[in-house]
Amino acid sequence: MLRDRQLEFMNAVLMPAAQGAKFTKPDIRQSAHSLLTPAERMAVYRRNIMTTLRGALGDIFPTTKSIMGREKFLAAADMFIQQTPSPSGDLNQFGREWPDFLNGFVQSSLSPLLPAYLHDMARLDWAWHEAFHAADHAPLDLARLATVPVEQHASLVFSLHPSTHLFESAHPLFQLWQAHQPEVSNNSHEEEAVGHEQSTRDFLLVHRGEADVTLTRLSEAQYRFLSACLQQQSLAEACDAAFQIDEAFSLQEFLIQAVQQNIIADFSSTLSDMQTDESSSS
Amino acid sequence: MNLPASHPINALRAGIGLRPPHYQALLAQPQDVSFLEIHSENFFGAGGPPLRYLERFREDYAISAHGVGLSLGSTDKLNVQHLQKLKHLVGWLEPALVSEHLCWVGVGGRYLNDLLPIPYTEESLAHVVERVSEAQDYLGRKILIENISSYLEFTDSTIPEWEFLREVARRAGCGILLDVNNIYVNAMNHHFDPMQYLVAIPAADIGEIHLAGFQDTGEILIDTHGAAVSDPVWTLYKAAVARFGPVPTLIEWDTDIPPLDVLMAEAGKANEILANAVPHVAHAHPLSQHAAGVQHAA
Repeated sequence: MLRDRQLEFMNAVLMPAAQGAKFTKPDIRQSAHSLLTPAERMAVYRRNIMTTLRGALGDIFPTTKSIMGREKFLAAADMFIQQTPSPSGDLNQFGREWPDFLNGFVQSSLSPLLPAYLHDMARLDWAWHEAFHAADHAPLDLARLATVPVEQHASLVFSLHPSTHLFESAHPLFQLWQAHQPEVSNNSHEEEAVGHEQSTRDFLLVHRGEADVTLTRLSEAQYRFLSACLQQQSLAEACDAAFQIDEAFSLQEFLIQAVQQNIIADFSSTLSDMQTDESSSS
Repeated sequence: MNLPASHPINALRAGIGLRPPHYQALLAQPQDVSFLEIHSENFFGAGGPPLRYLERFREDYAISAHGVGLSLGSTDKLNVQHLQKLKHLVGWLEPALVSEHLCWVGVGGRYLNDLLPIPYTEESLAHVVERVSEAQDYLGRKILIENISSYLEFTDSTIPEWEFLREVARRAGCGILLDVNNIYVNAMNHHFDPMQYLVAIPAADIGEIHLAGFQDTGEILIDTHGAAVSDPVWTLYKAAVARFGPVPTLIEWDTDIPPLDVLMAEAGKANEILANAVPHVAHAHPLSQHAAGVQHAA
């Protein structure tokens, strides 16, 4: 019986015209607080639930919400909430599918005038949320790195801080993101790499350093380098990836910076791979 | 993680909910509160600022870990992943109190993320008792179960809420977190005498009291945690303290969160009631017995 009631309750609360008459006590007593019908009682729950889930989405996707405006955001959020079960009693888990949902929403006729970059912006908001809660990691141990013989450097595999998210966008997402922050934010910066000011593609790094999450616009070479690290490729392979994009990629400068900012947070050396690695460098 | 020993709760001073808008004010100036209560789920992440702040506050205050998502009343299997995260949090935080709600939050793998009522029947009672026992076994400690506000009654219900709550505590061996505001809200919504509720709960089971504000729509009272504690709830609280003795008391405020001063003023009101209750209570409920209970939970 208990399970039936819970399933009935859930159906009633998710249905636009909430029912509940079947299992809700009719209120026959006369008093100021006895005027609600069973459907109205279910509606109280539906309002509470929608308010909570809308609030959770708005908190996790503040930039997306700001771009859409309150009205369109709520219309989309209500549809999303209806069709996407919240997977956990922990609200921080709700919204993983929101970027893909928005992508469909933008392409459908339901939402004229919503920009095409909304999908990427929602991904960025989610990456920020994940970075905020990601595990901590101590900075790279430079003393230990110094003990690695020079001839093994090419085979080092760098790993990135657990908060690190990399992604590329076909839109100028960095500027768009900055324009929709509530106050002047110092949580974003542009690397002084040359040659990408005019680009319409953005290569972005979301990362939590000492305390705050930051958004950084990278050069494509930097992006390829870090992506290779994320895929556990060796330093030699990561360099190849970067130099293919930009022959002038300043490896040493970028490495120092990435270690200082705890983007590159650890390393392992894979001695056994050394011999086979020779063939991969072109 | 090597952390200093956690603080026990002084039951003669009220506590407040720990919410991000107050972090800086709390760090800038220590406040006269006996404990800070967190929503456990907000600290389920692997790292980052939330945990760093919590570690910091833990140095100065006793902490109570209050869960909203375990869904103890659900007929789904207990969510082991959720329980595991809670166990991890409780393991390093060593909170003085750990609590959850007498409710369900989701069913069929889908969560509604709200505190939903269960029909009060023998079947439900057996189910909840089993679930609370399972959770306590998993966590390796006693938890407190809180009564919720509700906006409907099930036609199936055969047991008054207060009897149901008392029986859960008795059979599962858990404590009770008595939300005095929720008692009042339900008394108004479902037409019963709130004193009848208080009298039914054994003092020995009470581990904590919650106070919060509700919203009156004119037709129904809604537990919003978005207003000051109302006068009738203060009156009911006085009666509760007179009956149960000084119990760790929390001022909850979760929506339209006011400046810290406003919250502290509410805590001050509770402190007065707690202080006045002591001499009277020393007779009926020896303070030593109660304090031992709190320290045991720590």
